[in-house]
Amino acid sequence: MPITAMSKPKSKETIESQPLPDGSALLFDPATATAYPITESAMRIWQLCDGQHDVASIVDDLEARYDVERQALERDSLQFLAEMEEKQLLVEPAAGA
Amino acid sequence: MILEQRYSLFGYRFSFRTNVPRAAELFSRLYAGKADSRGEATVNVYHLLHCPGAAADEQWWIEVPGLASHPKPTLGDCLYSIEASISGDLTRYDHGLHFVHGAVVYAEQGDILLTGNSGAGKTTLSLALAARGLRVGCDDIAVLNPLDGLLQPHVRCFHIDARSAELLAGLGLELPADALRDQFVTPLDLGMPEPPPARLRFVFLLEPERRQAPSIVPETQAQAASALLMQTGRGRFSDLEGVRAIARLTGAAHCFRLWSGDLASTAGAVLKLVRQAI
Repeated sequence: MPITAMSKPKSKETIESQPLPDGSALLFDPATATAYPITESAMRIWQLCDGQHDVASIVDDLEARYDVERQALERDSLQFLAEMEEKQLLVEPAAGA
Repeated sequence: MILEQRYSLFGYRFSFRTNVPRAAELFSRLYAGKADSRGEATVNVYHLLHCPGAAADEQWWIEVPGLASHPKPTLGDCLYSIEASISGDLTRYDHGLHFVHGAVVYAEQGDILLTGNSGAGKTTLSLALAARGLRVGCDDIAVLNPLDGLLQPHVRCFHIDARSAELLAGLGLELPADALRDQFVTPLDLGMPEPPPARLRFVFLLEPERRQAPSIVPETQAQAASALLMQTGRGRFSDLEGVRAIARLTGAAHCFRLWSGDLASTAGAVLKLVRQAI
């Protein structure tokens, strides 16, 4: 099920995040022994993938941090979450509640 | 007469046997300071033999672990194959080391790692930087100490083809003619017999695509770590400890992506950036 603004994405507990000093980070999936590089803003999204925040509230958080139009933030957030879902780093699509 | 030399590289102990004094001399130059004085049997043995009375295409022979004795066209080909086998066997040997694929260059402003696929230009660029006064530790493999983040270069011979030799000569890099003839230029030939551990301050990811002028753009430390992990397709980087070790390495560095232009301009651009970054 595609992720929408109502989705409440949740990261898999097995995924290790490794933050870097410049704000970027690596997500490491021990099941596939694969590391994924993500940007600073993507790391913020990842930190909010707790199953409690929906995408709209994630975008609220980003909007308060970055001087970027909300529409672009929402588009980029959905794209990032779709990629994480495709890589099976999220627990489930978490559509709706 | 068979000459035997014993070496130990990061705990990988091997013997090199040859009836060619020139080959023994070149290997002793390459592995200066790595002689293994223990009397115990080594893990592997590498042979290089010259049979002057044989047919022209069967005068030079090598035997390496896992491969039966076979001829090579020239001494240079024998040296290349044996040295490559030793380095390959070193990285496959189970000694718990973390290998990083790249060239290590020492600069006053901080040490540099040039990484990228084979053929991306690590060797030539590192030697071009040597022509500009920097020192080169290795052009292919270094061992990462996950505890202190230091990179220890694994010395290999620099394989410099005729075109690269011409380009480097144009930059003023003087290399011994006999070493170039056998395509076996060692770090000693560049005034660096035993490269010290490097503490990285700069990581350059070399793109295979060449451009008219060099282009260097900042890269995130995570992207640099990911690229290094992909470059190191084997060894101990497939676990979390390895990922953390690499992340610490790039996390201490300024990271860039580099598209090379002509050699002189590219080396100049790298140097300029390194000097400006401090």
